[in-house]
Amino acid sequence: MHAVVLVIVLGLPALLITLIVLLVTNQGGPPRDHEATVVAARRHETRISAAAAAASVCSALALGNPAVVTWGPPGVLLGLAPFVAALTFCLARLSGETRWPRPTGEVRSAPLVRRSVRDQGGWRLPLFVGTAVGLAVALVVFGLTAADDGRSVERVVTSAGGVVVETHAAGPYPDWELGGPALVALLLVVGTTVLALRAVTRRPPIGLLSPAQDDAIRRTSAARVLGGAQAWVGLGAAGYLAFAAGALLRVDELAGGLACLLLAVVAFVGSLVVATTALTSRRAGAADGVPRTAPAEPSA
Amino acid sequence: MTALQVDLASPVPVYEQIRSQVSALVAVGGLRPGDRLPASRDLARDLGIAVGTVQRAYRELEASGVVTSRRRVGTVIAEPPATAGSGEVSGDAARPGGVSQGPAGKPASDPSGLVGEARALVARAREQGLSDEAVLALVRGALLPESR
Repeated sequence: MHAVVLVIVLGLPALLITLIVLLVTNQGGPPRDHEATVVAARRHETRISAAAAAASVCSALALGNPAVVTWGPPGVLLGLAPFVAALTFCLARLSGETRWPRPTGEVRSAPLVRRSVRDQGGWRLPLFVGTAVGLAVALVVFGLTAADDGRSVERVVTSAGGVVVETHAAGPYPDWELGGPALVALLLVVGTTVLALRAVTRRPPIGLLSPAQDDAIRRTSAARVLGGAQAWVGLGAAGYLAFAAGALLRVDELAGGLACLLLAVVAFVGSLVVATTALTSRRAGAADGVPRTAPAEPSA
Repeated sequence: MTALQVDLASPVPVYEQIRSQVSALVAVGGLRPGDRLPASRDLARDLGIAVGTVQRAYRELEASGVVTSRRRVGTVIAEPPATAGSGEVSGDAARPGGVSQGPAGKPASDPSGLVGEARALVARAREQGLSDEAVLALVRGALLPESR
């Protein structure tokens, strides 16, 4: 069974990424004029995004379905599904970014602007990092507060003299068994997202496009990378928080339970909204464009 | 957004094209003191040329005082010297294809309106059908001392 899991976890994304590469491979030669180049570039970007989204949904459905894959303790694969989907999404984007045309021709142009992952990521980057850090902290707290059986949370009621009167326990609760693999997967997702953003940032300008139009397509790519990663990580965070909220509310830990429930709703709705805002293409000259040139930081 | 363009088929070396365009952008205020230039590796990748070519252009710009290189910040457009107005002519003005930058090579503003007049000259020359090379030849000719 482990072999089947390995084949699905590693093979399915590899197969999907291969399909993406084939899908985004330029067919019919390079466009000849400016307008055709803009259209071709936007189409290429949309194809990468659509293929990456499709690949990530497929991998999440495969991992989240017990009829397809069963492995490890109950719930581990289901808990990992959003992160594997995010990984697939970012790897697909990374693969697609390498398929943009390289500089060719005798006349070449380049913007005299320093591009950085931070500039290209814009406001979505700190939001994504904040979500990931918040989820990591929550997983650590859940691991530390889980009961000894590893699957539940306990509330011990004691008398005034410190004598244990009764013990309430409820589960499932995201303990280390669930949270540990999720933490590792989350770390991988953050790393792969940064790699995909780096690929977007370092991609050479598209020939025939003005610097402003190239920048707009680049910002579209960066927004979609972060939008996809945010959606899956937010979904994962919402799932873990909802499970924890359910267990905490059943043992009458009202404050903790309600806080987790509220955070789950915020993570779910907020991440989907952020992902939705990344769907539209950025236009040249939009307000969130990178500055004309980046001023130097004060020297230390 | 400021951009530069190189022609690999031009008889002018690519490093010189980069150097002269950065100098020209500084001269007309397209790049201002404190602006950061892309890392040489990034600019080389964007243009699809060797890193050494960009590094040579940056070294030349640094030698003429147009940019400064700082370890953590990278290559930055230099501040104009305080001795502006001395009437000294920069090396760029004397080089073929170079750009007259005024005293010490890098005026940051246009207090005398020279940049505006230069732009007007270019606009008029283009209206009359002159090529860029012809405009440059005109300016170079005007820079020569009168022989009569």
